[in-house]
Amino acid sequence: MNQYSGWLLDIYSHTERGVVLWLLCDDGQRRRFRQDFPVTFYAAGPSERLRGLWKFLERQPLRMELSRDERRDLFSGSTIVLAATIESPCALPPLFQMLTRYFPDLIFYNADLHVALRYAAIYKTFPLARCHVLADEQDAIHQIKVLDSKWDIDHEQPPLRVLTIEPDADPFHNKPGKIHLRSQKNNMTLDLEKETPLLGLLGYLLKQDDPDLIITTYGDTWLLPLLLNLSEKRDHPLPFNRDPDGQVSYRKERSYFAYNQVIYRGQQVHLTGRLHLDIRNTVMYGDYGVDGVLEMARVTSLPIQTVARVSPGTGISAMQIVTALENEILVPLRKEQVERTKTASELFHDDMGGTVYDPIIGLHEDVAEVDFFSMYPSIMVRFNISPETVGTEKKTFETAAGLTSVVKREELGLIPQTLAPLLEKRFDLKSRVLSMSKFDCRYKNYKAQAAAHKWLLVTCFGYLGYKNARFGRIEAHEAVTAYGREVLLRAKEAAEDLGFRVLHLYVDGMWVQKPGSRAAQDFQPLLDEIKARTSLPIALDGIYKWVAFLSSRWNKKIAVPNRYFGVFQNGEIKTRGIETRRHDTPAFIRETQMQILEALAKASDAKELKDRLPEIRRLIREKQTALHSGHIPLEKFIVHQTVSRKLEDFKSPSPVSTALEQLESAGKSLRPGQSVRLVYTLGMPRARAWDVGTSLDPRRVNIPRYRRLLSRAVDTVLDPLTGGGRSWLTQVEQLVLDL
Amino acid sequence: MDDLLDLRPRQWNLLVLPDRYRNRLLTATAHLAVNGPLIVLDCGRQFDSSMVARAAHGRAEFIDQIKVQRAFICYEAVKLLEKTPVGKTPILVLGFLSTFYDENVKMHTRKFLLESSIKHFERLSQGAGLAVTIHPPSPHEDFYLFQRLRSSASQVLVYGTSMTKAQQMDLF
Repeated sequence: MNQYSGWLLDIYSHTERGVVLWLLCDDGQRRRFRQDFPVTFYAAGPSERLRGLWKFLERQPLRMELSRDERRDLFSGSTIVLAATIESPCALPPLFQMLTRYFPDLIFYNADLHVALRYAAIYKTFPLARCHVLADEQDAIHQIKVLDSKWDIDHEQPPLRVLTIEPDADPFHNKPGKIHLRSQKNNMTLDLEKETPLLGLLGYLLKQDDPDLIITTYGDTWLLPLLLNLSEKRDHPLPFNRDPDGQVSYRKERSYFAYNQVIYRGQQVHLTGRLHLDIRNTVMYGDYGVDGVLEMARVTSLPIQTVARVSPGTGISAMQIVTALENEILVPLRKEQVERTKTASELFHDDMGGTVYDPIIGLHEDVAEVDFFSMYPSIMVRFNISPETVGTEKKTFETAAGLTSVVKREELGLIPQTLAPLLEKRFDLKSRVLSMSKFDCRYKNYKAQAAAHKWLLVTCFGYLGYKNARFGRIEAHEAVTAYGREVLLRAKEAAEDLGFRVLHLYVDGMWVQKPGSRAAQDFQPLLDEIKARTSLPIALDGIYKWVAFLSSRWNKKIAVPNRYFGVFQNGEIKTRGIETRRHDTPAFIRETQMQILEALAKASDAKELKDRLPEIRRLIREKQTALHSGHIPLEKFIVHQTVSRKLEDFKSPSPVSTALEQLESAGKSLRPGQSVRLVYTLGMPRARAWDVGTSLDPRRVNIPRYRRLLSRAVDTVLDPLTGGGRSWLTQVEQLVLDL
Repeated sequence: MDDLLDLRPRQWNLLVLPDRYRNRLLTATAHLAVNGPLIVLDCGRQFDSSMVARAAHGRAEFIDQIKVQRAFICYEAVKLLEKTPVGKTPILVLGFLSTFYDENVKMHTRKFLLESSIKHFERLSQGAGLAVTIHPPSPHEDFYLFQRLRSSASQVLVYGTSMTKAQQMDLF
């Protein structure tokens, strides 16, 4: 027997039996191990149908053990099931597909789970876990022990060898001519037209550097398929896979509807033995980068290549699955429970969502923003809200005001059990980040980890009510919002009892003001009081020098929740719901609005804002001149819009449908959920797709339309500052009107 | 009184309604509740309790005559039907096919679930009356499901192919 220790890079099903594990060993070697790993799935239903299934499975050409078993369903408790154990995890997906066709009336459990999650539940593994392995001469694992925990913050970093590959152009816009490659040892540019040296050098680099992680730009959707096709055509193998028996696997592109929007996921290219991340196809890459992806993988136990390309919802679902498996709870394909019967009034009262208290429109000084720490997940943990604990018959503890369901407290629910360590880790990380210098070498990594946790925690609430969640239940979703409403109202009462004026409430945040209170310690008694009244952690997000809550553009008397901008005492600008935050704002408009805000941020208090006006006036004049004289680069006019439907489904022409039509004519197509880039143009058609292939004549840009957009963006940030009299802004207002 | 929901014992009506009929449908639902209890199975996120409350002039004794359950996926829709007993209470199923257009569910499964639902409709129609509403299928929705359901209903009522007059929305 040999012993090894190192980091677990990847785990996947072997093509014949068991699983393959890759370890980055401490001696610098990358080793491939095999392990027997039989998997079991279950079926429940009427006895005669289960007998039919038993006979059907017996006829299959697979080695399989069948038995009658009793397992725990989260909702219905002890359940009689047919248990089927197969030696080869990779045989399960095709078998299961067949079973759903022939036995659609049966309930299947643990049938579609990722092998990495099954393994994690048994051996407590996770991607990049420190492991100690006992293996025989054929590298078959006999024992594996995990040496660290996914909840550790300062874990030992694996010495990953990274290769980045990037084309010199966006392939959707222009045909790239070269690719740039960069690794710890090499830095080179290869010509895509010169196929022989391209394949030769790339193959050499892959062998020589033997990277663990290949980070590409457009690798999933363009680059890797191109290189692999070329390698096949030229019969020049490229060792993208480290596993000599492994196959490059492709996942098809798809569009789907979730969170009230169409979401697009591009084609994926997965490797074996090494990892491939396409930064253009990595979810939230801009938010948390590679560090965040690795942290997502650690806490969810999903393989790195998978977790990078799935939504945080899939991540939270994976965590719930691991918790269920660890507790020997059956994992259904989908939830089997239906909503309980409610009267129309009960439905009205239960399904109300979060509390919003419209802001007091205008400019305010010395305002503190206090936020509950991950409010909804904290509520789930504190009040034990889980699909199996909500809606029980017995009232055992306090219930939130207005909640018609009651919550069982005796046993910790599946969801709180899953979330508690994640919340604790995030809390610890945030506390460390707050107390450390931005130049600390851990700062960036901690921030990335916290951002990854944030998205998981944000999603976990929605997932309780999500139609396809395995452990979802609408009553649990409603219970969370009911507690949320109660908690926020208690916080508001606490603030008012301590003499604060509440300017705005928004689900889990509160904006308060009190004459003379402008330092952090002035707000500490309020935080203590809110924590005492709600038993939930709350923190001071910051104190604004000034903040402006905005009105509706159509009716100046109507306030718009969560639409504001302000400057914290440390000079940081915060904006919500205005042009700078919108994806469809052209860069030129976004930059101008941000520059105005930066100019305003220089004012030490609201009274000094007027001193910034000459600078703002100059800025707007410069922008106006640049716009008219054609000095704005064309790229800055690009508007990004999400394609909401197929081209043939558009009933009337719009800029998006026009752009899609032009792209179709140029042989390029976009699917719903993808972003289309367009520029507003004069005459007909009114828009032009940026990626259509030919260059755009600058004289065709619809300058009046961009002028209107600019004017609106300027109005947004200057309107609330004018107050009632508007006297000190007259000149700028005039300028805006001129625009 | 709106005759949109004319529920009669031992019969089930299939109402094909475009979305613009939603207000009228919910108003008719509130009016039905004035006459007695009503079971609503909402399979297409159609039931808006505040709209129904307005139509019932905020009178709780009428609003609470309506017992609602919602389904968000086609499996749940079938489960709701399965769990609903035949009795003296009329049943209204809203937006029934909406969850069946979910492309994440394999077509053979959807067909199986639809057949189960049709059996339940036949069972439930033996009670105080059953109405099932669906919206006309869009070009990309599967026409088979629509046709199959249509062919199994006792009576099919199609609305909104051409509006005869402009309709003023109710203020209260």
